[in-house]
Amino acid sequence: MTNLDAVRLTAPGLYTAAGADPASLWEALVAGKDTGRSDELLAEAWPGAGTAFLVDDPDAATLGVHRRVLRTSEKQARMALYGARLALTGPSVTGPVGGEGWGLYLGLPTVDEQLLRFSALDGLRRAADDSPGAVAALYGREVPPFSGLSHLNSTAAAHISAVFGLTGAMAAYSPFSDAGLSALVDGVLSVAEGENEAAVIGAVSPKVHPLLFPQYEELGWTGAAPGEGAAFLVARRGPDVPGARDVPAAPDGPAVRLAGYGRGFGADGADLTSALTEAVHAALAMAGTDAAGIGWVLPDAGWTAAGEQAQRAALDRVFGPAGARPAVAGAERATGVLGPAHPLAHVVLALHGLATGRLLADDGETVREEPLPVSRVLVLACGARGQVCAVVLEGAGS
Amino acid sequence: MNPHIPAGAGHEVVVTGIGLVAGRLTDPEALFDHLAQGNTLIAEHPLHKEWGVPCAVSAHIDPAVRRSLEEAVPPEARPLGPAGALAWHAAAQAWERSGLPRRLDSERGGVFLACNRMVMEPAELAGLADHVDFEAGALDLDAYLDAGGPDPRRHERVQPDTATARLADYFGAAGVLETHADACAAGGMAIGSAYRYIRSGTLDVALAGGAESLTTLASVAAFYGIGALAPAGDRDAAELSRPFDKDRSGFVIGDGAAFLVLESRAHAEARGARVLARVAGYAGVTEAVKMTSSSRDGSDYATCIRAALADGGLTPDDIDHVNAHGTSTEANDTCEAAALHTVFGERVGRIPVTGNKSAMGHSLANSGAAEAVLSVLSLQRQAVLPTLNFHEPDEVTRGLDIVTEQRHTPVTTVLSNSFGFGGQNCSLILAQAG
Repeated sequence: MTNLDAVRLTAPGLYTAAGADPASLWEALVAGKDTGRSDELLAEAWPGAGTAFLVDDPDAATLGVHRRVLRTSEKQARMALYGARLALTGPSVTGPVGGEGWGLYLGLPTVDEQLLRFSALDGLRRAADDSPGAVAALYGREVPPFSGLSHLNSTAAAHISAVFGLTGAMAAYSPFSDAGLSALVDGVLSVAEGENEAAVIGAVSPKVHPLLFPQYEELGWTGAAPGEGAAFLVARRGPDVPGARDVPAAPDGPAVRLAGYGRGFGADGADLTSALTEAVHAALAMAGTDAAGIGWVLPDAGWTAAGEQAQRAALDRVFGPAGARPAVAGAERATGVLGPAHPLAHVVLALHGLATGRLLADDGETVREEPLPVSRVLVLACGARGQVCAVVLEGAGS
Repeated sequence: MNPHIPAGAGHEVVVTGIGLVAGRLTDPEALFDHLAQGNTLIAEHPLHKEWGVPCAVSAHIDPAVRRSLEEAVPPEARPLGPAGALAWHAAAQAWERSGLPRRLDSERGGVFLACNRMVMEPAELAGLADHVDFEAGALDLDAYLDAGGPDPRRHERVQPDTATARLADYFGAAGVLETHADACAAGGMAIGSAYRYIRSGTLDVALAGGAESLTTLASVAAFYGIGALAPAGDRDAAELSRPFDKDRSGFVIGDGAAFLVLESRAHAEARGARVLARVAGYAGVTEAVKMTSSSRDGSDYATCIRAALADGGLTPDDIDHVNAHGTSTEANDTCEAAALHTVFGERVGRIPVTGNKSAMGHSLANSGAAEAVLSVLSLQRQAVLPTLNFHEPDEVTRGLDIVTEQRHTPVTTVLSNSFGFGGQNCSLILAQAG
């Protein structure tokens, strides 16, 4: 028995443009529901992308916090807090949540943005023509209160910990999709190694912001629609049994286990493909299976040509030609590109599929639902700098 | 790829290389000597002073030093932004000093970097301002991009993980790449995470540290806005950061980078490396108080310290030096002093405590890494650095042995604390090589 066997991933919480639970996302994908939102400001701000997959900014009542919490948080921190709340609703009904044994592992994006509001930039323009001293004075007046805290990308962790009383081991990673799976792997290991009794694991997308566009452009963005959202789940120590399939239903709903993982790095095209291929093989080996033991593959959002190509080539190497490989489908049609939250949203979606014995298959036109032939799912992350990660999830009772 | 972490494995983790840049100093020993003599890195920021910035004081990198470091980055590692260039110097120095080959070329090596995000500065925003509809408060992005938009390499330069990836690629140590974003505790947490990976047997070698370059107008204005920075008042720049002193009034922001090479002892000894110290314990925990302060009774910080001791199988009696987080804010130092009283009891008055931020300012994500490097040197030299500007304790800080002049004393095991905004806390324990 490996030490991962005793850890269960459960309590999925998912907040995307498709809704506030995994079932809504599943249904939206199968129904081909248009979950995008045409936004007037966004249409102007994102050339060629009038639609994005936005979510409402959670208010204080939705988050269950005092409104002053909103002053020390940005939208992405609030999305994360809401995702955590969705995940912890179930566990808080069945038992106490929080305390020294509850840790927190987060994948957090960074949005390279202006500290001053756009409306204050007219003053900046005039001040810039005047003197540096005028600019400094403008900053003194116009920098939003608490921005010194709210712009720290760890703010999400602080608010989640404070709201739910988490005081266990923690880590926060940034900024690309591999950060979400790093949080997953390290969160599970923290429970497996006894550092935490439970770990809240989550990731959040960047808030969609006009200045995200040039940042994505610079990274080789293909034009895929951006999305907002958060994905969370909880890693908990399960019954100490030798086989995952013998585990009784988890109190917080369906559960899966992280059966294997692999990480790697490839700086450019061929290296990236090799790194991803090796990461998948490592994850399969750790899971004690091979390519035939995978029932469904959820690749990372294909938002760069290099990443898309590397994933395609790696899947070819691992699974052979397209006709012989397991179903491949992700959530992008209904969520847009979610950055660090994308692979973790896929983990939540996989948990839903493993619990119900179903998978999603994408034929390029539509997404259809099929029986899951093997109770194992592969989820990939392909970070923008070449960091890759692959995880194998396995059913562990439902 | 990573092999599975075997349950129960516990490889000893040692330090075999250190590197650092701070102020105008570009190696750890020079910094240690500078601080040992009671000198500071904190000075007026000439541009901020000229512009009338309320807190025009910082522990910034000397501009000439910064230029030379940026020019020294090898072409294959470019582009690196302000923090990345500092990280490169510190990491490359630590790697070279460790005696490891130029490239590890092993999946059993990793890079763990701590760095917080940057925000756009005025010169960049001025270009944006020409394309904003001020009534609508919206940006005409098409026009902005048509006019040239931002520096096309800007995003890559300022994203914290660019340096992580470049370092991993350059040194052939890409088994695990982590870019930590745990506020002011991130440096310690990056080292702690690397320690865990080596201890578990997943990695043999890790390059772990932090880098920060936030002595900018935007960052200073933001931290000033929440009252976290020490107001200049009538004091000289060198007197502003005063950890544990009753007249402390805020922190002084700083820049810098620091890295350690960590290895399993078996790996280090097999190649005949010089072992500088060992990592003897670590805890990185979150807390549940609030965004701007921790428990005033120090209980959250005490929990973190005790967790690190437990991790290393140590007791409070094993610690003979504390390298404090010591930001010089009223709240942090109160909480940390209370925690030290709680953990060490009556013995606290006999444990020398140093607050390096009194001379180096607070370089946020880098601070824990820089303080870890200085702790290694304290172990090496059997000397404890002074805390500048500590003249009189308050009710809570009373009873601590705050070191005010370099002290030569037996140092076997150092507790190095880092406590971040919002309650991301870590304690790292470094011990003599053995």
